[in-house]
Amino acid sequence: MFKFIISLIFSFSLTYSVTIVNRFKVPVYVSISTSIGYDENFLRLSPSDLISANKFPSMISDSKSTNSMVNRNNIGLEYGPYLFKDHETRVKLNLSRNLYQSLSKKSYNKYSLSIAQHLGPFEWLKLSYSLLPELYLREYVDKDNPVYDSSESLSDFDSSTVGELYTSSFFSTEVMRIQYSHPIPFHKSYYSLSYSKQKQYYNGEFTEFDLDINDFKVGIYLRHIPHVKISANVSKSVADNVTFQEGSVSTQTKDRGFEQSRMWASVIVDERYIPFFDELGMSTSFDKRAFSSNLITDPLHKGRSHSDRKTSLWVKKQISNKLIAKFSGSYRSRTTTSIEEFVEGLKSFNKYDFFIKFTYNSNFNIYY
Amino acid sequence: MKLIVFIILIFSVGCLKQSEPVFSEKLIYIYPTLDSVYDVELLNDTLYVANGELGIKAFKIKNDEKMVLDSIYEGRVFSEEENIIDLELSQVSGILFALDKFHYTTARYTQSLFDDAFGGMVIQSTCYNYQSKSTIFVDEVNPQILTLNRKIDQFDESNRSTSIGKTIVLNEIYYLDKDCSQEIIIGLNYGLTDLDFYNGRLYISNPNKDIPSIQVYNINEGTFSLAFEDTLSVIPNTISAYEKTYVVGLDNKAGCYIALFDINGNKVGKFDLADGFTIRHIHHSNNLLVLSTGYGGVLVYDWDGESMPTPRAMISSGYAYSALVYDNNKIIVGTKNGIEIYEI
Repeated sequence: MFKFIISLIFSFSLTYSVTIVNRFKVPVYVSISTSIGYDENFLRLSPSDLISANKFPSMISDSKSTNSMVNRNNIGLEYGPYLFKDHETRVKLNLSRNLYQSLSKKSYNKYSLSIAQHLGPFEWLKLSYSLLPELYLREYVDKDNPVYDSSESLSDFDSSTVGELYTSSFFSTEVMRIQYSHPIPFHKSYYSLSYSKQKQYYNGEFTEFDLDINDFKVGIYLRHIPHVKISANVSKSVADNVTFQEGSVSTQTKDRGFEQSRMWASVIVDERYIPFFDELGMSTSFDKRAFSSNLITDPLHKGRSHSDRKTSLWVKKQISNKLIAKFSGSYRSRTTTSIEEFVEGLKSFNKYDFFIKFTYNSNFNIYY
Repeated sequence: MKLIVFIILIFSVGCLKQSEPVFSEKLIYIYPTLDSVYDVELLNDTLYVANGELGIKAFKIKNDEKMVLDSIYEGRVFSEEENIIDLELSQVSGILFALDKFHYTTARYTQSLFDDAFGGMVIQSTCYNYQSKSTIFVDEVNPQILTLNRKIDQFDESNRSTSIGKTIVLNEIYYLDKDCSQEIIIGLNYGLTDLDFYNGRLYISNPNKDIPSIQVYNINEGTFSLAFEDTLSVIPNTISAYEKTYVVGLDNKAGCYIALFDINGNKVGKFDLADGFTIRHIHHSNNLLVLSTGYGGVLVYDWDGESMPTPRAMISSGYAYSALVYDNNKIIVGTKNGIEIYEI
């Protein structure tokens, strides 16, 4: 694969006068951001879970609270080697670290890499890869280890003993995406088509929930109205429970596969429409997920669906040439319907968060 | 073309690998059912199951290298509209009493389930419309059962009560007394929840219209007389009596308590257990006390029948209606979604 890339670059380099070495001698743009905020329900607990969690903190891994201050730090590097005449190439690397004050276990890192190749006016081909190595969800009972053998020191079972059955649930996720965008007959506007494959794999106690998710998305980006940006997309995901009926009892009795439809839209206006700030934006999304399980042993998923709504609002202010401040807030509400009442109570939740973020943009040029 | 191959390569390769599954193999068997398994009864190696609108099921338990349930009967007990929620098994006669949620109690020889040639009529009682609990009163060739019969006055719906009826099952014709059982105690609370007959005493849970309680009746020459009443602060869901104790399962996450008798059968003390759980069913055998707690799963205690029980295992099963012990260390659980068997 490496040889292929080199030969591709070499063949194009013959066409133009700039030497290969000089084509790579371009600045690297750096973007460093830090944000601090508050997440009112960072473990996405349902109302009934919130009551239980306050009573039995073991179900949320002895977290100090069901809400948390959050610190997000990100460093992004963008590099644009001059590979093709009149066609930009952009390579972006992002590293982020998210810290939760109430529960350090919830903190996570995320890495992403993307390569975008300009093909023509508003026409791009983009490949991206992101990896989130370990994200803590919360404590759950592992149905493959459903028996707690009492220790001699225990005088009686009570409702807190169920904490002994809880095991931390983590998952890792990897997303590979290919996206193509193309102009439409409105000034600076374009549409995009993308396909992504996501792997979502859990720790050993919960492998029965492992998923491969295929996602198809169509988006439109309207930029022809002065000072207004309108964007929207619709997507369809199909999740395959890859460990379904793989051997253990839990994989025989559960199918976490689902189909999901998503709509997302955002409107952004610039300083012409708002005083003081340079940008005002709002986005909203609606997800509808229907689980495919029809197993009678699977009350958790059989006949279950989610409606998930999220609305976000933000303002941005350019403080200096290189420093931008952003204030944002969002509200998310998920309503679960199921043939089992307890599932509705378990999987529905509401949450809001707000953040202030500072981004410092710069570049370094080691070549000239 | 090369570019396409390159793109396909990227998408077919990922870094992320699945974790090795971790499991303890303590959940050893699941038998899914379309309706809930409300009650389970065991006779030797045959398991009988009250399966709601699907009637009853019977299984031969095979416990060789791997434990499995081999279905030997499934179907209705009597009618197409039954909803079987409780079973009582007369060990001596081999008669299985199946109680319908809203209608009648029916009785069938277990042998008639597996042997069409066995014949015999199965006739239902038409006395009362709600006979959700019963207990074996006399376990003989012609067994007698006591059944709680809930009654609503047809002219005044607010006038509701429960009586305890006694039924003698006549061996020759295999039916429950068709012309109304003999009422031995009348005028009890409509919300009466359970009854158990043991060692010449009848134990009734929540019989008092005014206050949650347990009433214990002595039988003397066929007449039942109230021995004592044990008042409670929470409604009792179920009761099970033993040699020197009775165990009461409480509603509203109040756990259960065990009342102790002295040599004369007087209540002299009690233990409180399982605070935070709603108890739906109690079972005791093989020195194990098994409490079914709905969403709380199943709690298992070591218990000799008179001392304070000691916790043995907590089982996170499906919604547990009832459970029993099999082969000393296996717990068979009737759940909302079928039968689950665990090893402890």
